[in-house]
Amino acid sequence: MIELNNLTKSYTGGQKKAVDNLSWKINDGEIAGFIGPNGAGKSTTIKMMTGLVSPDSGSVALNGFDITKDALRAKQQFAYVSDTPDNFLRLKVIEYLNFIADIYQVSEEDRNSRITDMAKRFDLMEVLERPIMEFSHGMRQKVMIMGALVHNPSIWILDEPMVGLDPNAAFTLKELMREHAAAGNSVLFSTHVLEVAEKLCDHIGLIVSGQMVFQGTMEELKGRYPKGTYLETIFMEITKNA
Amino acid sequence: MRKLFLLERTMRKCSGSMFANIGMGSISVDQNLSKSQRILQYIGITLVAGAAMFFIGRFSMGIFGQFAADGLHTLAYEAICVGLMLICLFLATQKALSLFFLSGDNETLIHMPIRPGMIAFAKALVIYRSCAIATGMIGIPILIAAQICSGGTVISFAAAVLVPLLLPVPPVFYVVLLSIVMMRYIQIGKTKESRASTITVIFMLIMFLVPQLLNLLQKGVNTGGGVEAVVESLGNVIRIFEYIFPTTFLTVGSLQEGGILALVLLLAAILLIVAVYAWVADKLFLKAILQAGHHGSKQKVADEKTILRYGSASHSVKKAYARKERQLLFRTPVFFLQSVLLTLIMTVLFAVLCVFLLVRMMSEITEMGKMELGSYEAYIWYGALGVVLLISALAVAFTHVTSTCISREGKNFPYMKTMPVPMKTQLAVKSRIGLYMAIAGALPFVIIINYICLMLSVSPLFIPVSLIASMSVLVLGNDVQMYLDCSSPILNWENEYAAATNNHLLGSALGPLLFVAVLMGIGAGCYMICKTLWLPVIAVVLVAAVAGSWMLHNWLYAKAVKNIENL
Repeated sequence: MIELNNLTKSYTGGQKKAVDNLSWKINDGEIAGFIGPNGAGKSTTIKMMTGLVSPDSGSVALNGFDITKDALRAKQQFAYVSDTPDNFLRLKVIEYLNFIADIYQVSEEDRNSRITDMAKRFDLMEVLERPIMEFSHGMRQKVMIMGALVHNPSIWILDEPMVGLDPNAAFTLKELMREHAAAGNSVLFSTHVLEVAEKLCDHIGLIVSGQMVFQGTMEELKGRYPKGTYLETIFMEITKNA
Repeated sequence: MRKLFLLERTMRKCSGSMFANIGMGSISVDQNLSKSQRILQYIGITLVAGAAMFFIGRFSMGIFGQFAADGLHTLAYEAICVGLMLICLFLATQKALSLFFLSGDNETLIHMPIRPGMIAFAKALVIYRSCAIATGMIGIPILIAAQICSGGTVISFAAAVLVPLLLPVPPVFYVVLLSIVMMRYIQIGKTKESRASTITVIFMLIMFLVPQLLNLLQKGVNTGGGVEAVVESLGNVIRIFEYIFPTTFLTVGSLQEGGILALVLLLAAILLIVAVYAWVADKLFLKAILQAGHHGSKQKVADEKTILRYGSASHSVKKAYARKERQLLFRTPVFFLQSVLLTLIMTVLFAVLCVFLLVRMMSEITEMGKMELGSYEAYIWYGALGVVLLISALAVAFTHVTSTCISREGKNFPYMKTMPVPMKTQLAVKSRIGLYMAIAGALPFVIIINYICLMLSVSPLFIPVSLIASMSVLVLGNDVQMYLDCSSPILNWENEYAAATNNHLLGSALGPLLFVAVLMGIGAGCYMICKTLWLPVIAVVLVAAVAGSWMLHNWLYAKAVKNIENL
């Protein structure tokens, strides 16, 4: 479960609020889509959730562990995929996955079965011994997703995970998200691909200028904006008026 | 021309501080500051550089005066010019590998409406500027001092300013041309780290001709002819480099009386070199990029057995983190070259020289060892300890592993922060690798000094004392470097060179050196007061050094962790 309580973060000496009093609760078993225009505060919120940035006020609890007060236990609860997959480029894929597994203390048996399973699903088995830097953006993204999931945490936090993925990999990832939520875990991902959010998410959070302008199910959203048939049209209407 | 300078400026900004070459890696003007603040920063940098140049010039006057008095001023000019060109060769090699061979911007730039030759020229210009700052800061004060000593004319003084700025051209020409040719004809993709690192090492060794230089010097000293033999062997070494850098005789000629013709010819020669480079670069650079980007080698095909093989490694968090650090450090050619190889080469070269000198002086040391030391033992203790402290400070200052530990992370930094590993543990693992490198750099010399002290019949107690003093400086220097990089890391780099040269501060070891030296000084003062109690005094000083180091170590870690958490 992810709980954000009155999160606020300002930049440039407090003059501009990147995130303004944001509260959100994502229950176990839910897939939540975090949408909003560029610069709305999605990445800052995700950074506060993952401990990359300290909030000015408010709190983040991941499975009940506060990310600032009980950082290490909170960090054990989630997997994070950043929006840039250019990490640890000089390591081989298998070295990177084992490094992450070591850091999260995954047993040999579990890591081997998870790496085998994900390598097959993402079609990366044959390239496990190649350095990440030889790969394209999409391939790197697959490696980062595998790395994030190798310790099988209950919460997934993914910042624009679909960027660069080929249709097969995107399908696999969506499938993995559904399986993970169905097993009683939480998934939060930010995206600009509204069709994906519409079809995949149980819960939608829409942020504009640092403020959460809507949170709820797709049906609730359509109920509030009856003119909009699709998420795209609703999104356009909300962001135009904001 | 505008495009050329625009390209040069962009590449320069991506490749780190221009002052890294002269041990002032963190000096740069913050572009976010207001205009007046920037002007103040420029004034500050100019004052620091001016003071450094003044001291170099003042120091050189005495040495050059001695050479001139012996009628060796031509040899001195040759030695200065060759020395500066060798420095350029050294600096240009590192920078060329990162800007040409291992650069990631070639593919992006080649699509732009710019002639490939212009890209190659802009890259060479970045390297030239970096070298010219180093040669200018070192060479101009030395040559002006030389002109003052020899009563030079206005033309000679102008040449003293101009020559250090022209000196980098031939070495930069060699290095960049060789880089382009290597890219064109040797098929090594930029992702083949181990091969690229090997090539880097070979490239450097060939370039510096170190073995020949050492051999020649050794021959000169072995002849037993004293100063004349050293002068002769120095002359021989310079002759070799004059073949490699044919402009040397024009450079030296322009610095001497009536050297205007030589200066004009030197300028013409430099223009010719630049023109040849522009022509060759235009012909070869595009083909070189296309060739370097082609990876035709066989790829390993992994399977489930691969997963089992790798999965059976150690699962300790600290070991895994240290392994990752080592892998990234040793596999990234620029990091390996800047942070590991330089320390190793310097240590090996100087240790070989020290051992050689020790062997030569063995009979004298043995004779001295037979004498009764009496009260002189305390002076030998303090003298030797001073040398141990200085060497330890230099070893830690020249090891750039810890001083770049956070900067090297770059885009990996967010992952550092999301890992469920305490930041203090991560920093400890990172700095330990740097500490081991610094110990490796200092230990051979500490052993040599201990050996000499034992030969001089100094108490064996000197061994633990010198080791503890050395470790205090090494640990504290390493901690200061870590603190500096945690306070001002470069994380958004495009070029690895920028990260690898961040915080190259010779001064990072001065604080710890001063701390231990002050304690030793207090000990020396106490000894002066109560002459017979010098061993207890040293014991007290050592306990204070260890306790103080421990406290400072913890304080620096706490500050570093706080800085990282605020990043």
